[in-house]
Amino acid sequence: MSDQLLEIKDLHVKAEDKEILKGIYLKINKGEIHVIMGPNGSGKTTTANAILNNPVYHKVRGSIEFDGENITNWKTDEIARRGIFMSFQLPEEIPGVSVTNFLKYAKNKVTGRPVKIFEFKDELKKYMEELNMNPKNMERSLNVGFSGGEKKKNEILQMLVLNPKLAILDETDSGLDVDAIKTVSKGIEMFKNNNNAVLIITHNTKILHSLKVDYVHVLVDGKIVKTGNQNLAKEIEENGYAQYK
Amino acid sequence: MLYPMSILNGEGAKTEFTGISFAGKGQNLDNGFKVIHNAKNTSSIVNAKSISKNGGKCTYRSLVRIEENAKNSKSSVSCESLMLDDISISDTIPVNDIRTDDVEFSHEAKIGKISDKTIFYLMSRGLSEEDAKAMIVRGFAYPISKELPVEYAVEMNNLINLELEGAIG
Ligand SMILES: Nc1ncnc2c1ncn2[C@@H]1O[C@H](COP(=O)(O)OP(=O)(O)OP(=O)(O)O)[C@@H](O)[C@H]1O
Ligand SMILES: [Mg+2]
Repeated sequence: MSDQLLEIKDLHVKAEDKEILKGIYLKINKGEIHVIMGPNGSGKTTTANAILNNPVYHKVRGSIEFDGENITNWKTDEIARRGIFMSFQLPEEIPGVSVTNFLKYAKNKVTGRPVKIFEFKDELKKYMEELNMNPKNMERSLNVGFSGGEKKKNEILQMLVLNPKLAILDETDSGLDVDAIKTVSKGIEMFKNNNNAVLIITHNTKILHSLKVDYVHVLVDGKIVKTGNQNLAKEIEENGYAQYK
Repeated sequence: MLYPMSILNGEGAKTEFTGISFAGKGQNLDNGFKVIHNAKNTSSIVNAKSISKNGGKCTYRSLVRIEENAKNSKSSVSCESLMLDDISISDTIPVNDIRTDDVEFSHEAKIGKISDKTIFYLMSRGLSEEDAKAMIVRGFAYPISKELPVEYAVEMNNLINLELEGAIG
């Protein structure tokens, strides 16, 4: 059994004729936490969307291999069921569908079998306590009228419930207060084990303090221009991206 | 075509109308509701939703007439439509004929299309495109289905799933 989970090779991506990704290479093994940092508009969200094959983003060249399969052209839901999850920078609102029902339904789809109601409720309750979430919100429509921070915690809750092999977190820490950032890193720690991996996209090194980060990648203008360890994040926090442009 | 009508002749009379229509390929559903407030302190509530897909067309006509003698009456009309694609059509034609000042009247019409972003979000949670659309439609219809007796609500959800082929659950 190989430890490799994800391998992106020479990925070029366009949207509306704009070239956004210009040759991304990225390898993620089981048990690792990776971080992507980079200036606004450099292609971080696009990379996450391309992994999940959002049809808005057109792959011009390159390949994505995940868990032994070439998923480059798979449909988004097939990729999700294979084990990739993405926490959205801007989560969508679904009126009339409660958080509980949504999670139950999605879990059914991802695992391919009906969830056991009592187990599911216990699990949900445990995660919500850990994430300091208001149980009343579970019966509200998914994300409708939720505050920015509540939406982000909801994404982490979904990650825990769906239990993917690879979780991509796109600025899940943005707009969170100090305590909520701690809560989110606690959620990541709770999720993380030797058989899965996390890819964190962030502008903020605060969330990285309590996590054991293996690699930090710097993405500038559609390319990964540098890879290092946690110290690279510190260096960027101090000096910005000027030297990489 | 279906145009129920209420005439509120007695003082304090009330009417409430709730309806939902689903137009598929080749269908042109023309529905509506009429209410005439003809006495003091009367009230009406209209809550209509429509869904159109595959080039289907939903038209909703509402007529609210509040007569001069219908002082202190209330009327609230809400029409919401959801289109599942670019080729479907939805139209709301409200006629409000209000002949006295002493009323509370509100009319709300919303027309929306299922967004690709929402579909992508749901697909990233393991739902197929059909499942995603069916979930959005069920949620859209929920304010109506929750008012129905449970057997009817179940039936309605089954119909929605059937309309959006391939979606079960
Ligand atoms: N659907 C699209 N159509 C056209 N251009 C797009 C589209 N999506 C993204 N872009 C462009 O691609 C570039 C990269 O966008 P992306 O969202 O990946 O940036 P990012 O690195 O996530 O930035 P941020 O830190 O601000 O979130 C931007 O210039 C953006 O305007
Ligand atoms: Mg982004």
